[in-house]
Amino acid sequence: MMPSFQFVVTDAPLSLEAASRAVAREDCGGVALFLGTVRSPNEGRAVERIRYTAYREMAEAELARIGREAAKKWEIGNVYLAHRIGEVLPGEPSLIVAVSAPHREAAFAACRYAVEELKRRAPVWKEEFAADGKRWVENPPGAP
Amino acid sequence: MRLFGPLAEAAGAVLLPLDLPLAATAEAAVAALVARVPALAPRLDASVRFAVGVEYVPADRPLAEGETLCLLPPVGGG
Repeated sequence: MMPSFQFVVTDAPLSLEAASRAVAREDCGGVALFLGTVRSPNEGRAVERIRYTAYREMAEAELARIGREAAKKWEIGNVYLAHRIGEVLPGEPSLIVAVSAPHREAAFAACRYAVEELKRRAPVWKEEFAADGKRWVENPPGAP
Repeated sequence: MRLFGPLAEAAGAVLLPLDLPLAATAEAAVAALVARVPALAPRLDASVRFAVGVEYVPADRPLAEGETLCLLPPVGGG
């Protein structure tokens, strides 16, 4: 099976429609799709907004490496990975990972892998703004 | 040297030119950076990762002339 890949780091709103269109294919029986959204409250603080910044060229390259790794590990169809940068409000999507595969086990496993690796490796930084100011928020090492 | 996220904020700059001996490692570049901007010292611990171009590189990688070393503080994407 020949996978195809799409990787996006963008300051435009993310689109579920674009994600499902990118991964849909007739030889795949399912799509696993993870939608990451901005959470409020976070660690007890009411979040007003998040600002994501990235080393954009490297983030895209890292997403591409992650997608290709997933395609080596599991029998999957297409991979779509998108990260929003710029200002994002609570409830809005910041991340979409979509993977199609002939069978659901591979779709779930590859999707999970891509989410975890992205949180560990993608050069993206997060500033959380709340009423009492702003802070940088890091993903925990090892277990994101 | 190129800084990102909280490191760039703390340094007040995203690009810092540094003079280093030929084939200096990423680690040596960090030591030179601390000498130049001591306020960064508390942030430049083992949690900082390195990249050249668009790829992670190990801390002991020698830098070629004119190469830009990227300092990547702990990430928060997702």
